[in-house]
Amino acid sequence: MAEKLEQLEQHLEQFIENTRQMGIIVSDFQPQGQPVLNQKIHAMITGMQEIDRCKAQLQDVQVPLEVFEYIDQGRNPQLYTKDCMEKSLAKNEQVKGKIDALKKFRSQLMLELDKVFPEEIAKYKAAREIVKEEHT
Amino acid sequence: MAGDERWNYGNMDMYLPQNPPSSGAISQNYNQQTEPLPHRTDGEPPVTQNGQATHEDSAFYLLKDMPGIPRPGGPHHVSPGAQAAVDITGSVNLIQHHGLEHSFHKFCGKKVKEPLSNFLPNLPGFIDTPGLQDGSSLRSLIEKPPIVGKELYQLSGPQLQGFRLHPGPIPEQYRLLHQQPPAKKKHKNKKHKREHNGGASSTASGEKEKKTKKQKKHEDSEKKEKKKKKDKKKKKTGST
Repeated sequence: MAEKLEQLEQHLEQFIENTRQMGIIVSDFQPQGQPVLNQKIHAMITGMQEIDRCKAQLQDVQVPLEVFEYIDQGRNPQLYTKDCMEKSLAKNEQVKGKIDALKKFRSQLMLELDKVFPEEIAKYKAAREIVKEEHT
Repeated sequence: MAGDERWNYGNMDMYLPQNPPSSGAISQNYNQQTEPLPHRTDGEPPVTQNGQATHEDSAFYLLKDMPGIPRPGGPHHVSPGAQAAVDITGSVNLIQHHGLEHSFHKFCGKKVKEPLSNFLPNLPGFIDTPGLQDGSSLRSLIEKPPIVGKELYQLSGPQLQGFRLHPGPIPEQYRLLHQQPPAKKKHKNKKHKREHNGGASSTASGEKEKKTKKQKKHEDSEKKEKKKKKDKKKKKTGST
């Protein structure tokens, strides 16, 4: 996959360079530059054909649409990856906090229930042990 | 209030085991129950056929898995996906779990530069400007996709005749497209030198003046050479 992406990148860079050179020729055109321009047009069409061939090999590549927003704003797309990582970490910490709070609540609830309903809680704990044994 | 009425325990049946377990003190009560227990709203525990309260049965509403009830795949069967889902929760560091520590330090540990040109340094032209300004946004490409699926052929001789251009420069409004952004000059060394040569400010300013004069002379000579080349070209075109 990395090789195919590198190949596509090379083709695109060559195409862009060819286009840039055509722009320089056209910006101050001289008649002796016509054959060179025709050659550049041929190279442009060849470049488009090569890029079209690369398309078939990269059908599986999926790109999130949010990255396009970053690129359209002129921002580095690696910032999108960075933002995703930071959001995941923040969400992970948030959920961990909730789990820890619920665990504390559960242990506190069991303590209080044990005081109020000692027999029921004893039977509940015994039933839980049976279920654990069945799992293992 | 409940009196002799018996309510149907539509939901409560699922908590009563259909196949009682073979051993255990808890299993003794299962054999006694043959009908669903009546619901009471006065806070008292449900009553069995024998008229005895069943405190012990109400505790089993709290259990997700009832002891003694066989699982569809067997008593010890737990599907791999279910087990994995139970093990992985938010209490675990998921970035570490999925082996993304290196990526995390790469993107979040170091400072990632904001402009797009830092990601694509080899691309010519101004790429840091928003795509909406000049209509080159990727979003517009998705909303209005170009015509695809047609074969690409090389242009024939008569077709290339359409690309015969007139000599001369293009209008100024189109010249900006080929301009490159100014090269970023690294001033770190100069700043470092300035810090060390803080006392000798007069000599530094004198050196700067000399440098600017040299640069001006160099630029003037370059301009003259360019003018000469242009004149030569014009003479050639005039002769042909």
